[in-house]
Amino acid sequence: MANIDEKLQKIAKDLLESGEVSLVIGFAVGSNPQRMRPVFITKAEDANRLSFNHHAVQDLAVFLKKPEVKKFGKIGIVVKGCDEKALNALIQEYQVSRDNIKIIGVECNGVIRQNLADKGETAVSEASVYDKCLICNEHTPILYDYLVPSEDPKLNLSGNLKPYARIEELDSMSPEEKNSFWEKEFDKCIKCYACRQACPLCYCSRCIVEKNMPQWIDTNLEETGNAQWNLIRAYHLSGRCIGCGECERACPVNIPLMLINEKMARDVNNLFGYKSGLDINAKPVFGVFSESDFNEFIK
Amino acid sequence: MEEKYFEILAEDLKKFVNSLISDNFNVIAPKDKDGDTFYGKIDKFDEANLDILLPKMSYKEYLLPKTETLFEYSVSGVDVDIKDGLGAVTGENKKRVIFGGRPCDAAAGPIMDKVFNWDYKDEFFNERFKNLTIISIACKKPDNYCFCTEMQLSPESSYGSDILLKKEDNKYFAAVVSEKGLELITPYLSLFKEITKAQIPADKDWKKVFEIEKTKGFLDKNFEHNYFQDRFLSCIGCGICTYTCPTCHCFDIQDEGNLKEGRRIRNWDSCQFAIFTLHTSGHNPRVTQGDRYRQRLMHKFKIYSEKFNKYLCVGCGRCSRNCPEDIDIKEVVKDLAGLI
Repeated sequence: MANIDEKLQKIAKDLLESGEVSLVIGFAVGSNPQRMRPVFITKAEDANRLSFNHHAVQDLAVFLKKPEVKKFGKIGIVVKGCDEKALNALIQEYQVSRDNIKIIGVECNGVIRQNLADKGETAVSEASVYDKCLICNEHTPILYDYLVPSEDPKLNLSGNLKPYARIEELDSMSPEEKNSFWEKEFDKCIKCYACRQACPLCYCSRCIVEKNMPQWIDTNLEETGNAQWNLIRAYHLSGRCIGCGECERACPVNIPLMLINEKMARDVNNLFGYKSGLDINAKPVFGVFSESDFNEFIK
Repeated sequence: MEEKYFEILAEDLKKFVNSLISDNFNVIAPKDKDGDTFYGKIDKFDEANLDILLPKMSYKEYLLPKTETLFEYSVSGVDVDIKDGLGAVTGENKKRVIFGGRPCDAAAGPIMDKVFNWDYKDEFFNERFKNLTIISIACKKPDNYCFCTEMQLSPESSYGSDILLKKEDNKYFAAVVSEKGLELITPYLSLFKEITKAQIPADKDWKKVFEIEKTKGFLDKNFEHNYFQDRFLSCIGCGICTYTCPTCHCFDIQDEGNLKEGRRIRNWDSCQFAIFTLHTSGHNPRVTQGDRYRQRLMHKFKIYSEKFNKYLCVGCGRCSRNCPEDIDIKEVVKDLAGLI
């Protein structure tokens, strides 16, 4: 058994035995060796199911919004650096109390794209990991109560690959070209809302698409309804998205949703000097006003 | 009708499909897109990817579109003009062929048909189904998520297909099992050589790894079992399993419009959404995601089967492959079969 697994299991076992938490959310080996899955451990003797490797793609912070999970009270959670930023944002937005959560951070040197893993890819490389891993500054989580070191070698970046390269391509397009690009992408949307459900920060107990008195967002799965849904989600995540990429990974019709989220995150950083999920004591960018805020749009 | 059997060379199959396309058939086939494979309209045979096990989504949308206009209205003065949506379906849908799908996907047609013609005859579904000819290709190598054999089918089943092809080296054996299938190939018969059933290689002896009847047996008696709440804590309630499923068919009827004009549509819907069962009072009989996943299992393996004597699942495994949290339905139904 991998050393990393033993360390995770020991931490979880101790936390559950001492009663410090009543639930540990972590990863276990999934339906095939190239897939990991979330696992919910409530008994110390089950802690030996915990495992971690470069197939642990899920952002487990998503489960903290589920009422069924919330009722466990004090929870231990295994997080990679990106997932941990989601925890920070949830703490900033008063969705999770720092006192109720034990953060079991794991160092991560990149997770393998699931579609490649499903075709047999098992090696972490520049070409096999997600774009988010290529721009990651948080291989070690920012905040943690326990830290488990990675067993993967450091990601070797040649600099030849440009993460989210299409953002620049889109930036250089005319509004009409951009529109036709996104029209084509949103045409694929089936409104399964997996993007929303897989997102740790989409935690509204009643999403705007479910508000029907009045019906704000067209219900159809055609041009108008699909565009309205994807645009409203983009704006609701601006300045909040921490870039875990779960929406794009979950999307069954491969809409490149991270092009939107990453673009909005870059704009927010450029205009307001703010990056989401880095500091639990920072005020969320849209929750504060500063006189130095960008205001060129007021004419 | 009495089944007919043919042999066709791979190069002639290509000619056949290209002829269908040039003769104005709308041919839908597995097609590479965005690094994956989806069903889509092909303009020539070579665009089809026949090596893939299964496209990511099923071709359900050709029977039940994501959004379907049932009728449109417009008001001028005291006159109300109502246009039936069925007209558009009749117009658009002639001569559509699904080529190169798998036996599991084909089986979904008649399974959905039972629901859409049980009490109310759904003209929209019927019109689309009637005009769809299905040419499937038998699977040689199902993967670990497949369980069609357990679902009373097999990788070589012709249930729901009009023509079932079996590949053997550089030729295909074709079992034509319906009038629709025969009608489709008749103008191109010179490409086909009629043979007898005995000349077609026998189906392999596909082995079952569990008995689905036992799963039903468990579901019959264990509505309140802890398994559902514990196992589906990891379900995030996205609708992927239901939306990529070839047999899930729930829809939601909505009105869009204003005092002057508008339409009534039906959209895909999913039992995995909390709002699916939310009452106006605020009460929700399916409170947890465990309740909702249990509903999907109950509908597929108990409720439907009690009504129609078949299961509402073809064992394609899409819900497992596409689940972001790696919930494997084969593992689940196998677990349940073992719990009895």
